[in-house]
Order: sequence, then structure tokens, then C-alpha cells
Amino acid sequence: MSDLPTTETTVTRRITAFLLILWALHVVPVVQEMRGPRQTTWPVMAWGMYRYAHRPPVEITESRVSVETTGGGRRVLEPQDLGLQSYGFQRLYAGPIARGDTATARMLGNRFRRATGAPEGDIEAIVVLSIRYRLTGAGLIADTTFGRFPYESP
Amino acid sequence: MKSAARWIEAWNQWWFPQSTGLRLAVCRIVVVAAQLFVFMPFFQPSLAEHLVLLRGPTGFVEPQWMIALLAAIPGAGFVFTPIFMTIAYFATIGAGASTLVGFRTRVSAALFALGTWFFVSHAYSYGEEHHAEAILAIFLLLLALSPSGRRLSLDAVRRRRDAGAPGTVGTAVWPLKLVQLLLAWSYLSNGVAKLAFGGLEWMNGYTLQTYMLQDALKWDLPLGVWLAQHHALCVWLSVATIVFEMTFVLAVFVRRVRPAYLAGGAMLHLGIYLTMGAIFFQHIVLYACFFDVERGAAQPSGRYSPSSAGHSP
Repeated sequence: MSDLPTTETTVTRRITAFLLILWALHVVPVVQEMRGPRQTTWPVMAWGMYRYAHRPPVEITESRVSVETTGGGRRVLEPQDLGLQSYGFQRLYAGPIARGDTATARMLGNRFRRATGAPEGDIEAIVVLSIRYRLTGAGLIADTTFGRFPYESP
Repeated sequence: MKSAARWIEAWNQWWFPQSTGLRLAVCRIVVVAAQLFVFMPFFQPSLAEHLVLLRGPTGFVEPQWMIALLAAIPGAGFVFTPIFMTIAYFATIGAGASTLVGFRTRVSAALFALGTWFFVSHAYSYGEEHHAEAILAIFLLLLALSPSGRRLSLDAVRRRRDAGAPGTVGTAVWPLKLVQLLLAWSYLSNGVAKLAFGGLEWMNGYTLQTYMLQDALKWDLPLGVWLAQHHALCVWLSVATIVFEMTFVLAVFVRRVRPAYLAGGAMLHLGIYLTMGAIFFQHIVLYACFFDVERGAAQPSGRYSPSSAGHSP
């Protein structure tokens, strides 16, 4: 390329530089993922999905979170109620609460109050219903557990 | 030095072969039409859903870089308002339509890419992010950086009227090659992550059964619930998935195996959608970048010719 006029190679050189930078950007999150923290900067992301192995038994847990009010009423929370989407709600709130995280339950109550303008003292507790599905030779078996986290306004 | 020159020559031949721009134009039309008429209306948050997210109680959870930047520079009070979002949404659709018909193609594509990046980034600033749109969004940006309106466009009609039939250029293939490699990279790094984190145990069948059951129950997909109960089938599907992901890169370099990989990929994504609800139809649409519609037509040798590489209307 050295014998070519500069103007004719400028474009391809710029594109080459662009390609190399883009590749470097794509390699970084993959390397980062291997070392631990997962990079979630869209659109250049680590692509490892469903990457962990599971051993038998095959079982999964679904969690449904509700808010219990002082009047005894119960309202099942949907992600939209909190300005979230499905996976975000599961990852940030439902999952940790189902595992017994009381701090997250309190944060959820705070967020719900801000979202709905519920008055202080109106929320009695955060309740989580966990349904554990287990695959057996006889088919799918489900059992249910409840968790209740009393809520106090901050 | 000689060796370096050979590498540079090979690089240029691969990335910058001569082309009339027809391949790129066809891909522009296919991908932009899919984004406008399929993905935006059916698989991405609607304007109303964006506005609901905007009204959320505590704002962004984990803002993407573009959203953080816009919140900092023009200011959140200016950008993240219903009126701005509404105008931006319809401007994005307008830019998409303009890119589709090839009117001021590169400017339109830049605006369409910007709008698409903005709305996807916005949706992914509330605690969850997905991969499906990533390569498609990058391709939209590439349309703005390449002669994507050289053929099959209003720009081409106008140019032909003014200056006659166009020749060939060396800058109309690299976006397609880049998308091919990005697709291969997405599969390969996914396969590598499975083997690195799960090892060969990832193919034990139980792994796929667990993931499938989890998503099938979440999205109420009877086919997924049924398939998750068949261990042997899940072992075979796991092995096939790893083999596909680790070797898809062959489709980029070996033309003969391409149809098998593209058909396999389409089946894989369709199967994942039906059993696990994960939407990766964007990848199937991007497979258009593998089809060489110019092959056999009046295409020059395909070799890199620097004399015209720089001319990219």
C-alpha cells in the first residue's frame, strides 16, 4: 500500500482502525466476564448466556411478591408497578427476597411507596410466595413456601 | 517486511473487495424493514411502555452509557420527558422509512441508528439488558458509515440521472463481513463461556432441562415444559448447541458449509423462542449478510482495488 496515493488509502485505513477498535471493544467484556464481573454496557456486551451447569435434581423456583396493607389487603406486585421490567424485577427484588434478604424487602417497600404514594404506615409487610418445581420420574411436582417480612417506614 | 505486506494485501482483499453495492443495499432494505415493521412494533417496548418506564418511581436503575451521557449533557429534564421521547420516537420511525427507500441514505441511517440506540439503551437502563438487538443496532450504524444507498435507493436514481451508471467500490462489503464476524463472535464467546463456567458438564442434559423449565414456566410455553422432561433429548440438544456455537465461524470462511449453518441457526433460534421464549430473530434477519446476491452477476474479480476503495457515495 505504500506506493499508493495517500488519499486512496485513507478511507480503508480509517475503516481498518475502526474495525480494530470495535474488535478490541468486543474482546474486553469477554475477558472481563472470565475474570468475574459481568460487563453489561450495551451494545458491546459479554455474550455468555445460560452459562452455568446444573446437576440433578432438575428444580427451579418461581417467586411472586405481594404487599400486605394494614387493612389486611394483599396486592401482587408486577414489575411495572415499580417502573421495572420482568428480569430486572426478578434479579433485583423477587430473587433476593425469596432467599430471605430482609434489607431488599425493605427497599422494595420503600420503592413501592414512592411509586404509588402509599401513606406512611399503610404497608404492613412484604410477602413472598415461592413455588418450587421439581422434575421427577412421575412428572413435575410443585411445593409452595411463604416468606413474610414486616415493613417499617424509613 | 514482505510478510507484513502480504498480510496487509490479504486483509484488504478480504475486507475491501470490489462491489457494486447491491449486497449492501439488499441487506439495508431487509434489516431496516425488519426493524421498522417487525422488531419495533412487536418485540421492543412501545412508546407507551417507554413513557411508563419514564414515570417510574426512582428513575434509572443502571443507566446505559448513552442514557447517562444524555442525562448529563443536554440534561435529564430536557431529554427524558414525554414530549421529547414522543418526538424522538416518531423521528426514529421517519428516519427508518427514509433509510429504507434510500433518501439521503447515510444521514437517514445515522439518525435511525441513533434513535434505535437511544430507545434500546433507555429500555435497558432499568435493571435488565438483553443481547438480541446489539448486532442489528451496530449494523444500522455501519449503514451510515458505508455506501449503503449506492443501489436500490432514491439516492441512486438521482445520481444515475445526474452522472450515469455507477461503477464499483471497495467499501461496500466490509459492513457485511463485520456483521458476519460479529455473529460468529456472539456464538463463539457464548460457547466458550458455557465451557469455561460449566465445563463439559454443561452438556449433561440436566443443565438444559433446568434452563428450559425455568423459562418455559415463566412464559407459559407448553412445548418447553414438555421438552424439559426429556433428558436424552436435552443431552443431544446441548451437544448440538455447543458444536454449533463453537464452529459457526466456519460459515464466515467456508462458503460450502454456509447454508447448513444458517439453516441450523434459524432452527436453533426458532426452537429457543418456542421452548424458552428468548427472542433472537434479529440474528436470523442478519443472516442476510451472508447471501451474496452479486455472485455470478457482473462482478469484477472481487480483488481489492485501492483506486476506487475511497469513493463511497
